[in-house]
Amino acid sequence: MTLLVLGLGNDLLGDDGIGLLAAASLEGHLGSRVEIARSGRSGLYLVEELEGYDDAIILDSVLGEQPGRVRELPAAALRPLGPSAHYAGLPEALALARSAGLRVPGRLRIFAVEIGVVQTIGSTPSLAVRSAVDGLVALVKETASAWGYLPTREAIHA
Amino acid sequence: MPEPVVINPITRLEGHGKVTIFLTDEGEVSRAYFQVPELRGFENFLVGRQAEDAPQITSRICGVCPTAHHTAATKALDDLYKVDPPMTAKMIREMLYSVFMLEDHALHLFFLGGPDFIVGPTAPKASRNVLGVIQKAGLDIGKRVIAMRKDLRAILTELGGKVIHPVYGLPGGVAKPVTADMQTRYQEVAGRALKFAAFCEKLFEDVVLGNPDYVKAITSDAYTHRTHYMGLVDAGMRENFYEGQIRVVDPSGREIARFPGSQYLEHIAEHAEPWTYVKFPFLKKIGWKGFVDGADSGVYSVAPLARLNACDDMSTPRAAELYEKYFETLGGKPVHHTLANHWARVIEIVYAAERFQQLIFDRQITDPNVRTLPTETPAEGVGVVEAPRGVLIHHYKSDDRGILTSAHLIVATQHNAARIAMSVDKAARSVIHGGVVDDGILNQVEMAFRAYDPCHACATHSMPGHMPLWVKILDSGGELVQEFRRDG
Repeated sequence: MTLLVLGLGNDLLGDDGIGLLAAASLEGHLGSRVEIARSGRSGLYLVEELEGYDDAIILDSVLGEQPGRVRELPAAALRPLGPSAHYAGLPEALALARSAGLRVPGRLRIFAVEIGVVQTIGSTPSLAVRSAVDGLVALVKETASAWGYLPTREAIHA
Repeated sequence: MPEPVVINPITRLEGHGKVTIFLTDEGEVSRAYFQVPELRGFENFLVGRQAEDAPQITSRICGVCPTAHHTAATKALDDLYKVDPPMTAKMIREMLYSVFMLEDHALHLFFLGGPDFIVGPTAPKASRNVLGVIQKAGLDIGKRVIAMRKDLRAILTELGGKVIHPVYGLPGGVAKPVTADMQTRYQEVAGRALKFAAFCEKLFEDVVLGNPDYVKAITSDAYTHRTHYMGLVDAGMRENFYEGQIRVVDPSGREIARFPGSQYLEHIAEHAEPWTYVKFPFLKKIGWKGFVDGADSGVYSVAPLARLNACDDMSTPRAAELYEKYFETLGGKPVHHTLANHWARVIEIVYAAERFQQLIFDRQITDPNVRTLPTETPAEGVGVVEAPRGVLIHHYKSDDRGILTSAHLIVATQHNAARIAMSVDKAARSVIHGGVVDDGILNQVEMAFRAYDPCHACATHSMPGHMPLWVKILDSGGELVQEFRRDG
């Protein structure tokens, strides 16, 4: 059993890099059955990132009204609609992988940090957005623990 | 002006892409356009940095084609330092580039363009998705495409350094030679790539040429624009992804310009419109005449369709045969049907696989001399490649220490911006009347731009201005008549 924690974003695009930052801060903290990965890709291109894992947690950003607020995006609700079918969505990526007989995550949770509209290229995420990292880390640990990847809550903090 | 209709997805999990449709007081379409990436921020970011960092920085512009930016930037550095890489370095770059093009085209052909190309433009909406493609082309298809991509990506990782953001390009060469062991392994992959290309070709024969309605659909007026075309050609006027001169043909197929990338500013200018900050490149010597077709209009396009129109032949045997058949079937050269981009992509898959094979079987590819050290004082350089989506230009200026003082990039989707706007506009006009639309519009308008495979770079997150999270249709008084919310 292996869990993938996948941070998504662009490290040159300010707030957009928050998923990568959160993933990086988890590096080395979740034991041997959890793999931490980072990617700048999207949609269908994620097939190759997700392949081979039993479960997955995705950390991403989403444009929102309250930068720094963490939202859980229900995977089932990310249905491709209109133009986004071009770069097909995550459900299509998973359907494709399944049809190809690939092992794809059985359980999937997506946590997204709301970010502002204007990003400064070359900057790190804003303070408001960076403040979400602790919350994201806690959510990942809770989930990993509930899914049986971490022995106990006490052990994590030991 | 009434509020525009905006079609815009919200997260990278759903993908990127944004169409804006302005309505008139009567609720008819006043102007529709596809939002192309904004790169000024990246250009500004490059200024003041070491030129050698440009291939790494620019490869982060887009999560889809980092190799294209990396290679264009590397070529711009060659030019900046006036250094000619050893032949083997050029061969390695072109080989890796062919691998990248094949990898990217394969994904697009089946799963991004597939809903239009394989399932068919006239198929019901419900089946026009990845699952529809699998149903039509067989269960095995996903496995084949993913297995091929895995093979190719392994090469990009090993030779390129990192698969997402390659690090191998240096001014004057590449960071790593191809060893005899690598050559042997890559030759095996090249064999599989050729088989894969043959499989793509066969599928095309079966699914597309076997269906007379398909050819009829792609040649329909709704998806046709008679514009100029631009693409890179070698000395024999054959298509090339990695190097050559930029050639422009007019709507009758006649060459009107051919020039080295370094002269692009003599031939390409950018037009600004009051309703968008996006600039529309056009042919400078003809001039901007608006969003119109024809030889008198400076509008041109790039991408597979344009590349095939701009060259006289393909340099590899099977691709050359397919090239002939393509023009024969579609009524001669040039082809103006936007949806033929999907077919052109099949021909380029074959070309990429054949070129990969030619290069990896060449004995010179394992020569360890892969770098010429730059000795000239840097000043100005331009690098041009054919990205999967068309001509990509990187232009840098630096001080004598190699610190960048200016950077200008034109990505494929920008070259295509005017023609994509024309296509989207045509489609929107056919489906929006009296200010009322149903969600069928999403499909219609989408198909108009999907064939261009437009770049929805991660950079779109950085666009200035507002990016609403839902589709809004408002009447001329600003009253909401319909909305498609896109909340996660």
